[in-house]
Parts: sequence; C-alpha cells; structure tokens
Amino acid sequence: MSDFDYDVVVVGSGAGGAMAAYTLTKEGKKVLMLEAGRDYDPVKETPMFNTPAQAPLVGAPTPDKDFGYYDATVDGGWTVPGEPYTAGEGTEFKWWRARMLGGRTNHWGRYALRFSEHDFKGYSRDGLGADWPFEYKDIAPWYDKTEELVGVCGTNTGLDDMPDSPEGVLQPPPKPRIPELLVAAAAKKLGIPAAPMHRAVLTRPKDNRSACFYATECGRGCSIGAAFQTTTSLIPMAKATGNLKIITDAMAKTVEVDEQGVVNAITYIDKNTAQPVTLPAKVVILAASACESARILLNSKSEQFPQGLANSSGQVGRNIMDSTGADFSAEIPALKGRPIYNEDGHTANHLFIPWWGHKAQAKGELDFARGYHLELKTGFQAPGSYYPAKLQGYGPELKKQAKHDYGAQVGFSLRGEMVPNKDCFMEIDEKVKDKWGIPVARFHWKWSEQELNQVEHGLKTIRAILNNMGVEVDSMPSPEEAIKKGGEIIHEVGSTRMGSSPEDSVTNQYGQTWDCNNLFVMDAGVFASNPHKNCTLTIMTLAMRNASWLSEQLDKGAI
Amino acid sequence: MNQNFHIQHRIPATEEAPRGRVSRRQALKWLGAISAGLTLPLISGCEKALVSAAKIAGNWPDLKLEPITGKGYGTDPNLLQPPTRPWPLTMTAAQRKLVSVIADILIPREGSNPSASEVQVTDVIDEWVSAPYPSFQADRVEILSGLVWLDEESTRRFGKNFVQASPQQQLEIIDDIAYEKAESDLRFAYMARVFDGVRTLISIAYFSSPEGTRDIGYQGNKPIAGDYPGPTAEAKAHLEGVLEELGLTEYAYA
Repeated sequence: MSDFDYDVVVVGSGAGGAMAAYTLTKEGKKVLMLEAGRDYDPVKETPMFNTPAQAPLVGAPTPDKDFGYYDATVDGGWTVPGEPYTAGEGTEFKWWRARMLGGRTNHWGRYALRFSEHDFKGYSRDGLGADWPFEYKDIAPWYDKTEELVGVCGTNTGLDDMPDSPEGVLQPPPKPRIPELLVAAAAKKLGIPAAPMHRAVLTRPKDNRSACFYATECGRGCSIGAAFQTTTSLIPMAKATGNLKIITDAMAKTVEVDEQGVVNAITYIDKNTAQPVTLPAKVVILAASACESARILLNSKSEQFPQGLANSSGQVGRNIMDSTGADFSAEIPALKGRPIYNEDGHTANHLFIPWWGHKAQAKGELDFARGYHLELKTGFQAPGSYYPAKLQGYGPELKKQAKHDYGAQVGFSLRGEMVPNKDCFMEIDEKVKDKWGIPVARFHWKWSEQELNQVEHGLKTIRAILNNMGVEVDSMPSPEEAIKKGGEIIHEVGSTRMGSSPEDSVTNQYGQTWDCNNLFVMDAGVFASNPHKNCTLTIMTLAMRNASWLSEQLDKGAI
Repeated sequence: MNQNFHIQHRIPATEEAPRGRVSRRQALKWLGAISAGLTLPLISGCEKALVSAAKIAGNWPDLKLEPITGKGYGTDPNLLQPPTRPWPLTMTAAQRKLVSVIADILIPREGSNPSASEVQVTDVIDEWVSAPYPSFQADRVEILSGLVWLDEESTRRFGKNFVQASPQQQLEIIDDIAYEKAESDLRFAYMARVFDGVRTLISIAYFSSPEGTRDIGYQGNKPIAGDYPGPTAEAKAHLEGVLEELGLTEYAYA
C-alpha cells in the first residue's frame, strides 16, 4: 500500500462500509477497504432467469446454501467454513454471514422503510431500552439523500408508521397483485390498512443501473443493478473517484493503539497466505456487521484497553437485538382456480401491512411496547419454489388439484421490534478460535415477554385476517412455538450502540467511539433500538451522515 | 425462496380438515413447506408412540442405511452453470424402475403433456436421496424403506414385486395409501406419510420441468419492458367476485 496514502481504513463492504467509502471518496478522502470475503461481481455471476430445475435438488436449501442454490451468499449462511461461533449453555443464536464483496447487501430483501420519531424515542415513551441520540428531523435529510442515491420505490402513505419522503424522491411502486389485494381488503375490514412496500428496487433507471424487468428473485443478486446492492452501485461509484482501494480476502482481526491509546493500525489475516498483516491507520471505520465489529473490538485488548477497545462502558457486545419473526400460511379456497397471470412483479411484497397499533399502544391497551409489521408471501410462484400444500390421490385428479390450488397459498411473516434485554448479548469465547486463529463470538439469547406477547398479538391478527378471507383456523401455534430463533431474521443490531453518554453507550451520534476519536463504527452495531422496519436503509443513512461528519472533522483537522 | 421440504419434517396429519379450515397440524406443515429455514417442533411423545405403533402395524421395513457422506456442491458453486451431476447417483436399477412406475401412476401422460418419468423425475429423486447432506440422507432412509414396503406389500398380497404386479393390483395398494383415510388406518398410516412426501417431491420435479411449468401455466420469469402491468382484466373480475362473496367489496384496496 506504499503507493496509496489512505486517510481512512474501512472494514467491510456491505451497507455501512460501502456507504462510508462512497461518501468519503466523493469528498476526496482516500479510503482503503478491507473485505473478509472474495471479490464478487453480480453483473457476471447472477443466475438471471435460471430455473429451479436447472439447479441441484430443484434449488432446495442445503447446509452449503441455506437459502437455496441460487441465493447470492458466497461462503456463508448460518455457518462459514472454518469460522464457527458458539452459544451459551441452553441458548441458541443464528448468525448469518457472507464472505464476499458487498456482504449481505447482495441478497437482502431490499425492504427499505424509514424509522420515525416514534421509533427513535421509544425509551422516552415507555422506559424500555434506549433513545437514539438525535431527533427524526436531524436524520430526515439524510434519509432523503440515501433514498435518492439508492433508489427506493414506494409511495407516501401518510400513515403513522411511515414518514413521508419529499416529492420526487420515491420511485413509483409496482401495482399490487390479486392475493395482496384480497389480504388488503380482509385487513381493512379490521381497520388495518395495507400499503405499498418501500423497496430498494429501481422502477426507473438510475446512474448505470436499469429499472427492474420483473423477473428473477432479488435474493440471487441483480445483474442489471435494479435491486440495490453495493457491488453494482456504491462500490463501483467510489472506485470511479480513484480514491478507493479494496483488499479482498482480508479478515480483520484487531485494531491497534499506540501508548496514548490512539488507534494507529489494523491487523488482518490475509486469507491467501493465512498470515497476519498490520497496516498503519489514521482513522478506522468498523462496518464488518454488528457482531463482527463487536468481535473485533472485544479481541482488540491492550494495556490501555484491557476489556477490549472502545469498551469502557462495558456495552460492547451487549444490547443485541434481532427482529422478532413468526410465519403462518394457509391455503385460501376463494383463490383456488383463479385466472393465471404473471405475478412475479419485483419478486417481493408489493403491498404489506405496516404497524397500525400506535394509538392502542399509547392508550395502554396492548401488553407489549413495540410494533410489528406483516409481510406477505403470495402469488403464482415459479414451480419448484412453489408446491401444492396438501395433495390427495394420484393420476389426472392429482394434477387437476395441483393446478386448481396453484397460487392459492397466502403466507404472513411477522417482523417486529424487540426490546433489548440483559440475556441477549455476545462475548468472546476464549476457548474457541477460528481457522485464522481469531477467538470466536459466543452468543446468549432469550426472548422476553415483550416479544412473546407481540407475536401472540400478531398471530391473532393473522387469524382474524384469514377469517375475513374465508378461512377458519382451528388453533394457532403458541408464541413460544412460532417465534423464530434469535438472529434468524438477520437483523441483528445494537452490539456497539450509540448514545448521549460514554457511561452507557459505545459511540456518540456520529458512530465515533467515546474512547478513541479516530475509531468509528458504521454498521448496525450502533443502533440504539431495533424498530421493526428492517435495518439496512438506516445503516446506509447513518453511514452517509456519519462519514460526512468524519470528512468535515478531517478537513478541520479535528481528528 | 425455495422450499425446505424434507420428509422427516412432515408430521402425520390425523385430523380431518374440511375445505376452508386449517387444522393446527396442517398449518404447521404448510408453514414448513413454504418458508425456508424453519425447523418444525419435534414430534411429541404422544406422536412418537403413534408412529412406532404405525410402523409395527404396517410392517415397516425401517432400513438401516449408512448415510452417504461425500462432498456437496460447496459454499461457492457456479450459479450460472450449475453442475448437472453434483454427486454420484446411488439408486439401483430396480429402485429407479420402481420410482418411475410410481411417478407415472402419480403423473401419467395426458395428451401432449408428458408423464413424470418422461421428464426425468426419477433422476431428481435419485439425486435427492444421493445428496450428501444429513436432511437428505434422512429422506433417503424413508424413501428407500417406502420402496421396500411397496415390494413387500405387493408380495404379501399378490406374490410378486410391485413392478411385476398388474396395473390393477398396483392401484389396489396405492388406493390404500394415497388418501387421507390412510392416516387413520394404522396399517397404512406410516407409508401414507412417506408416500405423501414422495408425491410432493415428484410433483415439484414434474412441475418445475420445462414441460410441467408450461402445464401448470406459470407465466413469469420473463423480462417486462416498462412498468409491471399488474393483474389482467380477467383476474381483476375474478377478485371482484371473491370480494363480493366474502362481503369485502366495501373494503377493497384503493
């Protein structure tokens, strides 16, 4: 790197890292990016139009590819070869990782909903968890810029749960499909409105990216750049400035400090040689994913920082939150035998059900403090992804039934806000090292009554909506049965939370660690709470805002 | 997202579920069927007892097989050109023959639409049971035991293997295991569950083939220039009827 005099080292190339690198390089700062996985180019590697039948096992999930053969994730999933993690006795946590340029942005669901003032001030309202150290109005202009840059389709709904974007920022959403319209009517009868989902999918061309052509699941990645991922947008744009250098296969291990406790270097393992490499660093941004960044900090022990770097509060690795999750689906008799048309659309929710219970919650009518939304899984899906629910018999009658039932399944997925609790955290498992010699993360997990009560409410709501659709559900699973495992929704956040005080938080509102002013965290670790609306848009928005602030500090010579 | 379909995850349904009603069991089953990554609750103690009673009453062969533990396709396979033979197929010629007979009983040729075996569903089953992953190896035990059961049952009834039996004799056995009624007959309950899994797998394999995809009428996986057109006029008219029937017209989404 002797020929490249970099100002900032960014660890990670996903939502936070790529946005930080993009923002800094646009401001003329030189950025060196470390990525733990291999180089990856969706333009050349995405299996657009491949059918399930062309894949082994009709594309079904395997331990090698947990979300099915065509999922974009490289060398990752719930397990990464040679890179284990452990869990405290009697607890379970699932940690999805990707080892590839662009990280998990290559396969994410692209749901891109803004958090609101309500979301940022949960603690002030109900005394649980922590407030964010800013107001919605501070962050709104950065949401505007992020949505504009990323490309988000959707509409301004005026609903409590969905802050408006300025006119012209959102791209038009695709038209709703038939089963979504049926769910919307059935929910409306209960007083629950449905709305167009906001998704980071282009319906109009932008920069070098094409508009969606409404085929191929976004989870495979998108060779035309319509579905946002950093590898077709922020990373090439940052590279084009001439200010970005990327080292792939570079697994960050520790951040080093000098005698004054100032960050001065970073050590990574070059996966090609399995040797450690230490590079000098003026500023380090960790954006390796919430739990990976916390792991790096906790492993960065020194005389000055014996309990890990930036951990004087003891909060690194604490306050981990995932979204709550529960799925329930049923076959809808009224949708059987309906006219077939192309329901691929942008391959995910055109309509969804945003959280509607603000008022009931404010009145104390609900036995849980935070909201959830319902996503829908419907449609005439590609055979292979779809199969008939309950077949009988054989021969022509069997086929007739399968065809009649095609497109009649409706699935609901609850995604809700979790309240942080003392039982959900990670630490370093000193007994276990990964193949690179780095001590691994050990997770602890326990849902509280907050989450279980919320899931119970969600299941009741789903049952009531199904009832309005002509389906009687005899009994629902209990919340304990229905709730997903910790980490399973892949929205883990909060492990290096931001706040107003060094006493109970790891960073200030700009992701700058309280303990080291040239060390930043710009992934979801900084989240002070985990609103139900999916974390990626807010990761990018914070990274843009905070990298801009860092750039100003560098210009002023303040760092 | 693809299905997370495995036979051992399927819980035998013992409750009748009329149209438009969802029993607890079915709901669990469907949930597992369409959402990847879900682990169903383990079969409870009471169900375990039922399963072993059904195995005894049904003369279940319960094969003890050494699982196949070769290499899978790895964590970074070629997605554009998937391997056509990611691991060696392991079924015997006799097993493959029996699978293709079952496949064509389930999905026979109809007019210009081919039968299941004509679109190589036998290869899909063979690939499935030969896959070196634990959940697929668990399916292998169930499926291969099911094949043995068919031959043994046919021998008990007719003195010959299933494929040697007459089409009429074959259907006599299939009729006992292919319907919900089998679930309440201990002699057939366990095989009915395995047969249900095989039927689903063969249906997936058939409908996902190019011919089967045309047959079911899937219209997607085609690039659209301009905006997504949304439902056809015919589809919208159908929805209006549905909304009216369900008393939802006044709540229609606008």
